[in-house]
Amino acid sequence: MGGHKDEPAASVKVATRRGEAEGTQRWVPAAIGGLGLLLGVLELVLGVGFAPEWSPAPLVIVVHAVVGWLFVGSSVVALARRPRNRVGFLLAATGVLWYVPPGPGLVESPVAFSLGLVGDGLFWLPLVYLFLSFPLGRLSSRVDRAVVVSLLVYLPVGNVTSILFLDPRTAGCLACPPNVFMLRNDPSLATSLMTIDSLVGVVFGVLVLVRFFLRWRRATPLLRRALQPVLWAIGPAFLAAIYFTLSFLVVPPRGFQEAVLPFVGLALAGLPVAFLVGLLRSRLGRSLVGELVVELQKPMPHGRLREALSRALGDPTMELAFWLPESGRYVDDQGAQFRLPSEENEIRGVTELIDSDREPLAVLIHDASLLKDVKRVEAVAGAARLTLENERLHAELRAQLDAVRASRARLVDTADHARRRLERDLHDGAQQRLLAASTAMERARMFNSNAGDSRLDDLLEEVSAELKETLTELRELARGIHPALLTDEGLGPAIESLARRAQLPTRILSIPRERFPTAVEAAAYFVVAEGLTNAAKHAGASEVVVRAETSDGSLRIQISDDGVGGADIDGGSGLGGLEDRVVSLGGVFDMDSPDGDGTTITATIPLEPGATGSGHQP
Amino acid sequence: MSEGDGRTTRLVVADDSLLFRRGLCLLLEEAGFEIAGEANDPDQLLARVEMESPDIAIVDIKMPPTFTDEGLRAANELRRRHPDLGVLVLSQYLEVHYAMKLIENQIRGVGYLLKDRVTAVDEFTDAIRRVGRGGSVVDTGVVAELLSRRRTNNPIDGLTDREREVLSLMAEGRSNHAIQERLYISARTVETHVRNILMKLGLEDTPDDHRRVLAVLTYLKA
Repeated sequence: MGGHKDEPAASVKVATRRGEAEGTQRWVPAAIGGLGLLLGVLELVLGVGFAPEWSPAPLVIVVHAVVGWLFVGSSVVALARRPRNRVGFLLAATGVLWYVPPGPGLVESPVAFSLGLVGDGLFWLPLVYLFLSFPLGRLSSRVDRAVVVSLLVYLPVGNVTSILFLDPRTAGCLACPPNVFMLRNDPSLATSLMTIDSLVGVVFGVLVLVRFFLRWRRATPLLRRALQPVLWAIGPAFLAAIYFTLSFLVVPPRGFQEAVLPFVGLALAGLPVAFLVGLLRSRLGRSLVGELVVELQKPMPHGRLREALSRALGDPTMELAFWLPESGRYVDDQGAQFRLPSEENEIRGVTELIDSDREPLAVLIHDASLLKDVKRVEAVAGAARLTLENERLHAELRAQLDAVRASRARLVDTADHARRRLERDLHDGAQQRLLAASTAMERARMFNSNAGDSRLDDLLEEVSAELKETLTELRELARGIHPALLTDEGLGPAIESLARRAQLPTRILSIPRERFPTAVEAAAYFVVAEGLTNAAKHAGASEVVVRAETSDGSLRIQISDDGVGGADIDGGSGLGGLEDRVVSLGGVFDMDSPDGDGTTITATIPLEPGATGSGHQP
Repeated sequence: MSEGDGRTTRLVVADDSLLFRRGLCLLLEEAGFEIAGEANDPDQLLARVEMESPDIAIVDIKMPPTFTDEGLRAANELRRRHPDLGVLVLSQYLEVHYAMKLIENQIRGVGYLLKDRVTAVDEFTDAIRRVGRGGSVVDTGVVAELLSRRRTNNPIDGLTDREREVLSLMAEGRSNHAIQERLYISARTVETHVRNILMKLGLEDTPDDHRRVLAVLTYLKA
């Protein structure tokens, strides 16, 4: 951990880069805003006053200008708040092209007027681009690029084609300058071409909508946060587009047209607002990086880092795993083994983080959409690197602690197994041989009683008594090593047997009848055995009470005496070893021994010790 | 060795330890019993008894395959199939629990004895014969453990030494007549002792020896 001093520099660097980006482009939003404002005012002033024959009702023009302003306004905010995202420029382009063609009364030059007709509806190009690339502002699929390119080609071609046989003056605009692109005046052919143009427009519209809905369906939760407002705004905008198209195919009565058009315009007004809101929602996480930096200054409880990072990334599903170089594996913040998502997983993205020595530190497993926003993840990770390194140490300790606990449990388990083996070996080996020898001895005594050698009789009697004594001692030894009763019949009979043999009067208040894992039974049995011995030796007690109960998936054993108290676990009794045994099973061992007020030993042992093998196998 | 009708008492011996089983069989033959068959595991035991119809089966508590309580289960099965057969279970464990498990399940004609008892042939053959006559036998060590149990307010403490001696013999499954012979006292004296003991312990008198054993053991074990 020698490289901590490099640490703050890394996060500062990320922050500075952002600052520069904002600084160099600060004039752009202002310029675009000014241009948009100017174009809108020109449309209002010039469009409202001139050419009343062909220009729409004043209210329609006002709504049209306002929608343009909304696009431009949204673009100004977007460019200011998120300067490196193309969404701002696309909104600006839509807003500016919105004002083309200029009101028919604005230009008197036939060429300029005709170019305006050709440029009609060019705003669709950036708008479609927006739909297909939102919220990143970059087209990510070949299909989307093809749609945009074909629209770019088609728009002027379609516009030119549809005005080749159109004379605006014949169509009703008496004040309009002549159309320089007109080959000949053929109103019916012009109408047909315009109809075809509208139908192609419908095809494009459907294509864009389908692509958008497909993207929504596949979108990760994080991406949906950004797409949602746009999804809401599509409804009215789509209705408006349908009306526009239909109004070209079946020209509605002028009065109806005038009444409806303002609302059609308003329906489109939702789009720029929706794009802006979606963009700001998707950038919410970025402003949270600052909050993260502040949060990390304060001491943070272990395990809270994941929460803080996931908040800063705006991804509640984010997971955090640390790389442990020594054991070569990933663990979570609790030290438990962690499995990374597979390479093919398209929903989850993995970002690897390195420590100050350029070695692997941790991985963030997050929403795949964040992979396209590397800078944000970098900023978050940079800010949290120091805390991450501390957390890794903690996770490493937890993992080691778990390993130690598991190995201690294995030791106890192995020792228990060895004791059971020893007991069985004594039973099957030495005891059986001694018993066989005893039968032979008894036969010898029978023969001799017939023969009547009294000295030999005394000798045989002596050997027989020795054999008997040895058998008794061997049996007690085997029981002390590991009672067969415990193995065969379980805790209840074994503890009852202990209580009957105890040196102090012992009452059993409750005892479970069911069987438990071998390791649990052994631990509980030895706790009671040692507790009873301890009470008889040290406590000066007149009675001991044993209580064993199961609750909440644990076995709780309590041994209380009414002796002098004042005992302690490390006082040379066998209690320290008991504590090891109980703790190795994930349990709790506790002794309460106030001076003059008896001693109570309590052991609580979980019935399903996670890391412990409790089988009979060696 | 023969019963009243002059016939030799026939035994089947089941123990998976060949060394001990052979020694035991030779010893019992010397002592006048007839070995009708030997068995290594519960299945062989049941087959031998079926074939030989012995008077008594001597069964090791631990036998294959699991070496836990096969002997006890085989004893129960034997008693179920052959109500007149006496069953003596030999054990290496001085555990009240096993003895009770055996006695509780039977009416009469069963015994629980430590294998160590082969070192006192007369006692041992006496126990075999008692089981053969339909009596109950509980190892003296098991009874001693029950009687020596320390408790506060122990009713046993209110018994005289002689009464305690009688209680111990009752718990081992001996009849009044056997107690009388063993303690060299009159039948009347034994009856008085038994009545006093049962009264002091708050137990009901019963003419059935086995019921008396069970009542006394249950009382002492509680």
